[in-house]
Amino acid sequence: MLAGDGRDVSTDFLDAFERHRSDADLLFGNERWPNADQLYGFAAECGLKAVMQALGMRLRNDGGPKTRSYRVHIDRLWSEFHAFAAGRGAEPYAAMLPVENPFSDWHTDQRYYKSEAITETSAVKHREALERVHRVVSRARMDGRL
Amino acid sequence: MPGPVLFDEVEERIRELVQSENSLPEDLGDLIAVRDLFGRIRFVLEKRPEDSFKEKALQKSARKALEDFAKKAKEKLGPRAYPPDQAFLYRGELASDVDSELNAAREIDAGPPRLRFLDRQVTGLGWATTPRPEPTKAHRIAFYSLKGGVGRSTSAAVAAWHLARQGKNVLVLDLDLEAPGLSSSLLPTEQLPDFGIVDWFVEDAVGQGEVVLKEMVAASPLAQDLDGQLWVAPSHGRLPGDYLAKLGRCYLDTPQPDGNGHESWEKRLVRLIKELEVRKGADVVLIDVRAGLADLSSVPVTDLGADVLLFALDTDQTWEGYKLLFQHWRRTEAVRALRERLQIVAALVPETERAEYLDSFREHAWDLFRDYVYDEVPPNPSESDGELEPFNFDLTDESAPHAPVPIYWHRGLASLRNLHALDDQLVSASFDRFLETIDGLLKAGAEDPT
Repeated sequence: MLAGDGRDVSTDFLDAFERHRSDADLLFGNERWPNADQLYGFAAECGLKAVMQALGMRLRNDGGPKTRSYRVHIDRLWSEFHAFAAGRGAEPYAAMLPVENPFSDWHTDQRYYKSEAITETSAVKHREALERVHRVVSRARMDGRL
Repeated sequence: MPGPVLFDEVEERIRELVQSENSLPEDLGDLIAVRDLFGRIRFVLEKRPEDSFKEKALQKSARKALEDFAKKAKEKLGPRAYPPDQAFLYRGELASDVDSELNAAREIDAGPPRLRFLDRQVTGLGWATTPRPEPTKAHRIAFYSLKGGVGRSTSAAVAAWHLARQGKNVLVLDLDLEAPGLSSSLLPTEQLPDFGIVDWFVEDAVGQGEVVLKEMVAASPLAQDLDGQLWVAPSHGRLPGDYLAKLGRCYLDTPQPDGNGHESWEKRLVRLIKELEVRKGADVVLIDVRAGLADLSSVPVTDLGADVLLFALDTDQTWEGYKLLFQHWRRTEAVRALRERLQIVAALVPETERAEYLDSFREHAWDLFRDYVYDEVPPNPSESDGELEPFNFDLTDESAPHAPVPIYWHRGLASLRNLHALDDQLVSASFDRFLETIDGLLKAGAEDPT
């Protein structure tokens, strides 16, 4: 969906975060581990990008971040978020997330994997990690940044 | 069109709004007005209409009530309100830690529905902490003033020397990080430890505070021939490095080493102080607090269970400043937890007309305490059976927290370059009453049933 000036206004990281998160929980509740796991990763990415956008991350016309290093999935975005938050008065948000990326073992390629390859353990771990992102998003909303 | 709504008018406007717009269904739960970092208001409700009602018609009318409320809020609060479609958040959708923060929202008398108010701030929250006593072996005393230049650091140094003479093991912390200096009166530059408090903050941020802990406290030569010990933790060490670059990183919340949540810088500071107390086996810890209303000043005053000496001059400026602080304590109810630990100190009492000066000082201090700190005395005390005794003192009560503990200005002290030249006569001329007070605090602390 394009605006008059050619910008793609379909992107809404916050809305996408909520959607992926609640759909992931539905799958999780039905023990559909692999796809729940995938969606937790996408939800986390959207949540962090929503906060980054609120803190001044600029977007291209197509809705993606202008900075190349931010056009990545959660397996790489996590540490970018820490670097981004430093110096923007956003350290308290970064401090809410461990430095070690809990999604370092998460990849979009896993959508091609056979079902047994993604276990309940992985989904549980990423669900917990997403809850941390949820805290950051909630706090940013309470602070009036998002 | 109503005029602009200023920061301090928001609460009253919200109260009016809720009183005039009471069509919000009570099933949606308490209404919490959250003032965000920019001073805008957003409302938090327990549940969405869809989750509160089964019937479609009820859901619809609740949604309509919310819409109307949000529009009215926008009209009333202007740029201090969110756009109506973003006016509400729902507790169930917020993460659990935010949810618990919402529990702390204070009640405003307006309802129904029950209205509460929560301030989200970047800084300044520390002053409102409802203090929890920190169990510790060491007796902590914080030296606080609104402005610098009132002899606060010198008094801390003299108190330390006095206590070390009694055989106490004293630890002095220079927490006036923005204006370091206490240490120079207790430690000559060449005897500073390698590191200071700022070094601990930047090292602890990456989990290696331990490295500097061993090298950030030095023994003051002032105590060389005394029975006790006098340890000093300066703000910077012998190797100051890029002090400003480190200072800028002190007030930083950090992730917990185990990745489980985060630790606020205030908690980190409390952790450091405890660690140093234990390492040095301190009996008494004297903390030279940064002057003013900065966040750094709030921690030793509110979070450590320390006795707090409030240094003051008898000037309008001083009393106005303390009024701002005391009003805040009163509003946030921190005052109840703090008041038994406060003591006002009359600093730099002039050489001439001392009695008149102290009388005037006492009256001003009493006005302040009476208005913000003391309880009102019930008209008929005998009727207050079973109630706690009111916290209240007469103007002339010498044991009152408002009763000035004088420190007399003295030519000899004013020209003193370092405290090595301290002698009994000089100290007693200026500090007699002050040191008696310090002794009294320690004695009272020792008798505490805790």
